[in-house]
Amino acid sequence: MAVIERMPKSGYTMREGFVSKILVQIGESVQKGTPLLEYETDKLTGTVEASGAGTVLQILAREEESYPVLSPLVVIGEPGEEIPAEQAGDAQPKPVDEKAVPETEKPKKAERAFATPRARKIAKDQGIDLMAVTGTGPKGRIQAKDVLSFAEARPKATHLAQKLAAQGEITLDQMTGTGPRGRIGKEDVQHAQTTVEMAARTERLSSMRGTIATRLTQSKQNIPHAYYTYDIDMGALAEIKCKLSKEGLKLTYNDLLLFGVSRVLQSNPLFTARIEEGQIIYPDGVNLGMAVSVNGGLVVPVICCTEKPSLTALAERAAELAKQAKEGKLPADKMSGGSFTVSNLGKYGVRQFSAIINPPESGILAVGAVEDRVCAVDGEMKIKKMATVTLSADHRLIDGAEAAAFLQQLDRFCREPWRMIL
Amino acid sequence: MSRKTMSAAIAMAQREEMLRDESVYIMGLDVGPYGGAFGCTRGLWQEFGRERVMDMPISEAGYVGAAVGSAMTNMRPIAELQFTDWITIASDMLVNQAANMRYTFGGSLSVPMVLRAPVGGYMAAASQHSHMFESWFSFIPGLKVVLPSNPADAKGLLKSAIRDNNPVLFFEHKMLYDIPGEVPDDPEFLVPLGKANVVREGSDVTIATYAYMVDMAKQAAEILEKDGIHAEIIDLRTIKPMDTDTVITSVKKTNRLCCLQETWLTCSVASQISAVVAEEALEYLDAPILRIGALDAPNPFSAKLERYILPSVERIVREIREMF
Repeated sequence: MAVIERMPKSGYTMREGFVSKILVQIGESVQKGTPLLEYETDKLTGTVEASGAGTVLQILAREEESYPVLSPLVVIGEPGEEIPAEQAGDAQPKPVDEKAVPETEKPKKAERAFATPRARKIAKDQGIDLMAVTGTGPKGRIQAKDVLSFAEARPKATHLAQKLAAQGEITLDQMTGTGPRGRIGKEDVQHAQTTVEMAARTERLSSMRGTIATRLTQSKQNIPHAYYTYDIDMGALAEIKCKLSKEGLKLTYNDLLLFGVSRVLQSNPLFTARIEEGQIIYPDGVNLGMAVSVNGGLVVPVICCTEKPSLTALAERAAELAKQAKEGKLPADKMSGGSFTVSNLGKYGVRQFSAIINPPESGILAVGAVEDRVCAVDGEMKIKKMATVTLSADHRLIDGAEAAAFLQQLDRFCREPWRMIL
Repeated sequence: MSRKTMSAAIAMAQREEMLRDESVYIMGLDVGPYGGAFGCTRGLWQEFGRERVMDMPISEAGYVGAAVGSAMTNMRPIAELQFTDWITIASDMLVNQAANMRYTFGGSLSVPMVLRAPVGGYMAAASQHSHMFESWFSFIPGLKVVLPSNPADAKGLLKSAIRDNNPVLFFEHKMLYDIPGEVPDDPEFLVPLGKANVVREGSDVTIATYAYMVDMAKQAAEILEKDGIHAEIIDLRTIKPMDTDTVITSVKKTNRLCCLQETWLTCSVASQISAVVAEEALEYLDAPILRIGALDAPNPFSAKLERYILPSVERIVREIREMF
């Protein structure tokens, strides 16, 4: 009996997978577990494997196309076997066409505008794209007067701008001018020229990039961000780090901060809450996301229930998740469910930055580099190990005083780490 | 200025040139006492005698050949054909001899002759009495081809043709012979060969035409005015050498060109103008060039059919309207 291998749902929010590489050919013999094709989602890359031994009978998927979850991709069976009709019925997976436009909307347009030589000359002189002009002449021919009335309807361009546009082969009608009443001036054309020259290379926006773009834009548009910066005294944590390292246990500042933040969050549940449809929802436990830079973007693995593990266990979890993230092997369930995120650019030497809240969370802590700084202590100059952190908080939920209290508590925990065992 | 028919203007021109230059003389069928089949030599035999106005036998090749030979030996003959349809019989004399001779004799002689012939249809004269061969002969290097559209131009152009040192074919439209017009009396009134005339100014379409079609174009233009189409009419006057510059200047103004001729369009004068304008003024054209001419059929004997085959004011108006 032929088996149809389908696009798996490898994540709660996954709706489709982008087939990046097909690894087998029709007629090839496979075993259970033989990789058949590779696919990507916005969170991970995965492999569809043969669920049993057999021969590849049909390959229904195409490379560089996206298919909805559960779409049939590959048919495996015995050579000469018939594919059962109800399976054959849906045997043609329909690739998801992002650019699909209903037929009724787009009128059939020729590759080349049907225009008289005079019309073409006028269009060229005025930087008008003939494909945008409607012709009223015999057989729909674009005549001079059609181009002229199109030009009239357009925002005007200065004579110099028109000349530059014609020279640089730039069309003016998509351009909005910055001059009075939208007039297109020399600067506008020059700007268009440089943008044209700069676009020497194009890249497809990867799933991950696209997702990041969408989500962070949504975050900035919907969440009223307020930012609070605090310089944290890292001296005590530095000592702990040093001592443990002498005993062979390597912890990072990030591990220590994660631990500290998770403790602060336990007593400040508002920071793990989220607003949903006019309600504030407080989750159980503290699931902490940590931003990890990966090839081509950014991923936020979530450490679950950070109120439970010990510092070393937490550090281990963090390290493991970071590794998985960098290898693109992070399971989907480890990428969601966070209630607060910590983002650390300290290792790059960034002193301070303000991060964008990761929806549906309500806050994110941006951590800068730990550095020796000159500080005033009782009227004297002392060198201390300091780090600057910035809390971005959703002002719908969290007001300034609460944010300040959060940071004060974090600072206290960092200065007096013994408080964290209370 | 006097009011004269085209045939009278032609007679006047010949008379003036014969008075001016004694090497000018006329030969043809019935040109002598009869005064020519269409009256173009009326009174000349009476004035100048049989040595200078000679009746010929019906032998086109013969007397056109004689004209060629005479022109080579310092005379200025004007040979008149009774209908242009039989120019075909004389064409060896014209094409192989007259057109070539200055070239083949290395410039040591020229052939300053004029061949006058009545042309054109609209008279129900059938396929052998209605021809107009302007396209054919314009093809030949070494010949000039001229067609007047009115009495004044007929006089001025003929005098220039007689004084020209090349073989000139002077085609006179039969329908125009009896139409009167104002003609300058000045014996030195000349209309240069190779120069077109803008007979009507307009802004929307250029009609390049000649001979009898000039009148038809004017009638069509009046009708087109009501559609808001202002036609500019150019009377080419000389087909070879043609004044395409005037046409191009006009097309640059109007952006539309209609080439109107009475005869067939294949390899025609209209095709020639179209090609030159497309070459030199393509960017000015806001519509494909329109050629109007006779449908591809011999001239019918039936007057009704003839009016269908040949251009009509109605057809000109209709086809020009479709250019917009």
